[in-house]
Amino acid sequence: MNALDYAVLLISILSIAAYGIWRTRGKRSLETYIQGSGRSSWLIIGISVMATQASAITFLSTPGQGFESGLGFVQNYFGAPFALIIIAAVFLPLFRRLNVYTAYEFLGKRFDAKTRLLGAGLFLLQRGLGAGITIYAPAIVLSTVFGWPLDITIISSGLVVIIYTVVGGSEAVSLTQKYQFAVIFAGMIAAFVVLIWKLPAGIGFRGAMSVAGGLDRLNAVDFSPNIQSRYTFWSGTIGGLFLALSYFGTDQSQVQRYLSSGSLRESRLGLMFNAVFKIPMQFGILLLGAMLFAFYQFEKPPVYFNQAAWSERMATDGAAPYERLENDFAMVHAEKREQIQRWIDAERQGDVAGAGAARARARELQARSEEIRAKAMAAVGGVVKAGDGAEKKRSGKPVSDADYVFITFILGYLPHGLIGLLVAAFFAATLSSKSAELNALASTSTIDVYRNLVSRGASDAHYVLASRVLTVFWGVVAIGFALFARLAENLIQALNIVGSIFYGPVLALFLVAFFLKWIGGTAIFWAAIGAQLLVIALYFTLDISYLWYNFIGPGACILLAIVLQSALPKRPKNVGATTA
Amino acid sequence: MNRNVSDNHAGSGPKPGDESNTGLPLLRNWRAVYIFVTACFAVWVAILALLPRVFS
Repeated sequence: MNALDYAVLLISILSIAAYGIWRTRGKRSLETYIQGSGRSSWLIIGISVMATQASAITFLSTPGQGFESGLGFVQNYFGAPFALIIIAAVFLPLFRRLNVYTAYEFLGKRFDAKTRLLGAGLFLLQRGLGAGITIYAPAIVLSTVFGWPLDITIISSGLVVIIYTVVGGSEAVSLTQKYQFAVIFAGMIAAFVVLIWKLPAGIGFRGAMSVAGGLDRLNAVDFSPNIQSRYTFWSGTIGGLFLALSYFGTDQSQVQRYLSSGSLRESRLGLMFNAVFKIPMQFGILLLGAMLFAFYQFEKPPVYFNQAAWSERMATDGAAPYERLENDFAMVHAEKREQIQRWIDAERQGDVAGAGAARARARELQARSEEIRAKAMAAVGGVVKAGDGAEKKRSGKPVSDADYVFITFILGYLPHGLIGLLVAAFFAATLSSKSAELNALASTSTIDVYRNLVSRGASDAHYVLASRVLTVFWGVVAIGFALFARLAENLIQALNIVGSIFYGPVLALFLVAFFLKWIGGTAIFWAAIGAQLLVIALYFTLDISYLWYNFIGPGACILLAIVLQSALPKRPKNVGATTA
Repeated sequence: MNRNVSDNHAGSGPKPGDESNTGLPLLRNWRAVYIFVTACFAVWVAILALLPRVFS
């Protein structure tokens, strides 16, 4: 990065944050601080919901996912449109009718105070545990690639987000997300255009699509009923429905976004905006990865994209085994490039047999190339054959370099200025998702815990101050967690596991609240506790994918609630009338 | 529970007709919007399924 890149980065990030602070100066009521001005249009809400979900790691990692495995990951989002329809039709009208600031306040009105605290507590626990990761995960990639000190990268991005979230509250978050998203999309589109422009003469977008398709990077939908496949139409639609219902319907960081409008219509349209555009957006980012794959068929990529880690391993283990992998990879790549060129030339000349033969050979070489890359990943994280044939073992598993694919392209092929814009895009994504998360943690702590348990009946100004202090508290927790975190991949997985363990019972609280109106607070409270303990016990005893707990948790909780409610004395008829 | 602040806050409940009117030119009720979203989903899945057949 040169001075121009740093100027673009600083101007775009600081000016957006300053704009958020300036536009929301002097806002003092709890209403505007937590829910915004109530004037948010459906487009602002739609962008805000989208920007809250899409963190920096989405834009760094997803192109790498497309590069490595193709478009199949898009199926993960197939359940989202249906979940958003259910939320717009069922969840949203009830949240609005009961005038709630937080989703858990609704639980208090529908059930009782203890159930409200349980929902808020589970949210604070899992979101608090994840507080650092949205800062840490992109920071480690950017600091590794640019050689920036990791601690300074974490602290600087953390402080910027704390300052404008504290000063501006929810409205500043919504206002700035619009511009942060504009920076993100300007950067991603610019990268896409440069990528296509840098392809060899005569290849173009269509040629790149043919190469990506011919080498299995455009396979997006798998209708097979194989439950062992990670991404299929069925797991994406059914599993994705539950995940999206939990995330969009019960996570305060999202609920707060769509409750910031003055009308049900705007909130609903904002959600429908996401229902329509979520899949195309993820497809676009994955397609960028598939185009990167096509691009690197003509330009020689490194055998391992995290060059800092690769050099470090060479220094500690000795260069010989690593150089052998590099040489093997270079030879395979050169022959593959030749075959791909033959394949494209033959296609242009209408030589079907010649194109088929060259394509088949290119596919063989691609398989060989993937084997070498797998060995490189194993070498960095696990086992490497030393020069004397002995194995040097590390405790880790193979370490994927997918997060480094896109940033390596940016640094190697984008002009100065655009590099700054892309790095600004990654920071913008960090700020937009982190600010919404901090805002939600502070709102829940203030409304569901502080105002509910500690200080009732105080003034608006008092609660705004409490919310600001709690925003700083959660921001410092996030920075502290990020500073002490040192194993990004393991942490991300650990946090996904924590999310899957805790999301299920929280979703069940809301599903029972909406659909099983005869079940009361005591039954659902103990059912949620029981289901939570069951899920934790199963996690430590069963050897199944953690994604299954997204089904087991709500299922167990609902069944237990039905059994408990049947055993308990009958409820008075007016209980639960608020949801009618 | 103390509601001295929130009883008149921004999300102060739906206005008359708010729930049924979408304000969209062709999709006048929410059922039509949900059908439109489902149709968009079906179109996207079809496009994604056809993509590798077109480019291979």
